[in-house]
Amino acid sequence: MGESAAAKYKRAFFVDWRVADRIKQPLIDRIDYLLDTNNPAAPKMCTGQAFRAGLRSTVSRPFRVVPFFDPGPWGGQWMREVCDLPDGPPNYAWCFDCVPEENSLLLDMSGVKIEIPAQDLVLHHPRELVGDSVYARFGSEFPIRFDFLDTMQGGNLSLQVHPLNQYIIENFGMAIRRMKAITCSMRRRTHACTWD
Amino acid sequence: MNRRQSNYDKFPSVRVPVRRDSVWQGWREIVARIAGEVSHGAQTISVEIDPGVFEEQVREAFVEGLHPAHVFRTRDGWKTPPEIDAMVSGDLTDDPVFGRISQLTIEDFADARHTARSNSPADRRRASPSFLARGPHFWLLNPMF
Repeated sequence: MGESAAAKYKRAFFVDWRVADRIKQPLIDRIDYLLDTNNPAAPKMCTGQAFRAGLRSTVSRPFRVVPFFDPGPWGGQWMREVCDLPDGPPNYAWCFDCVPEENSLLLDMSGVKIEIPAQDLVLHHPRELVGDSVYARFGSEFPIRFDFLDTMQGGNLSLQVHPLNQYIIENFGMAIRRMKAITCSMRRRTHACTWD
Repeated sequence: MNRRQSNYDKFPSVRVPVRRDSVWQGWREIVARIAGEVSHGAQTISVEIDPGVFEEQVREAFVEGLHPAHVFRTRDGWKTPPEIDAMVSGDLTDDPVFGRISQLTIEDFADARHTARSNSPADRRRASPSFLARGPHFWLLNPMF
């Protein structure tokens, strides 16, 4: 309980989410109802059938997940304006805008928005989502992380070094390494916005 | 700062063609629906809870609304926090940021002594309806269900 937020996140990422996903994956086909308690004051529920219909609808069309924004050491001010974000945080460093294991998916059921982990789609329709060849290599994983990183009127971005396959398998237990980072920069004065 | 009008959609959604009566809002509607299942013969209500959910709120809503004969909490059958900390320490490593993707399964967290007690014949004779709350994997402790 006394752990820092960073330690809790690390534990969730490396242990809790993995254990829970192994339970959830075979259950998705069997549940009778799905509860959404993301807003504790306004819980929602749909039938398991409607939930699975939502996953089928999503995987058969272009879609976006619910983006997640967070401040950070290099954070800038560009996303605050362009994405219309609240004034509270001192900056915005990250926007996860398709990292299914960390984003939500909103299913609009007759005007009622049911919020689920986007990872549910990856677990239930991996082959349809990523295609046969990617599925054959990575299984029920989404092997790309789409982020916006904003440094405009902010600090310097970190220098990142990504390991080779053998190293990441042996030391981090991950089957996926960062193969490539695509960067586009928008210049304003002397600062840059980076899309990683 | 004079902000320009943002056209970035922060809450994109996917429309799902389902009937309105497939969805319920608020604990009153939710519990009433589940109570309907009980009145139609459902013996056990089991709730799987993702990490991070406010478990107690969910438990209270169903227990107050359904008055189950028994409530089983799988968290009561876990190993102790020091035992679990020791078990996951290899995956978490000493690094402040990096770790190893865990290969543990939920069975690894269960206290075998508690599991054996929960499978006793007395447990199998419990009256219904029963409410199996709490985190993952309820049937580990109650395979009869």
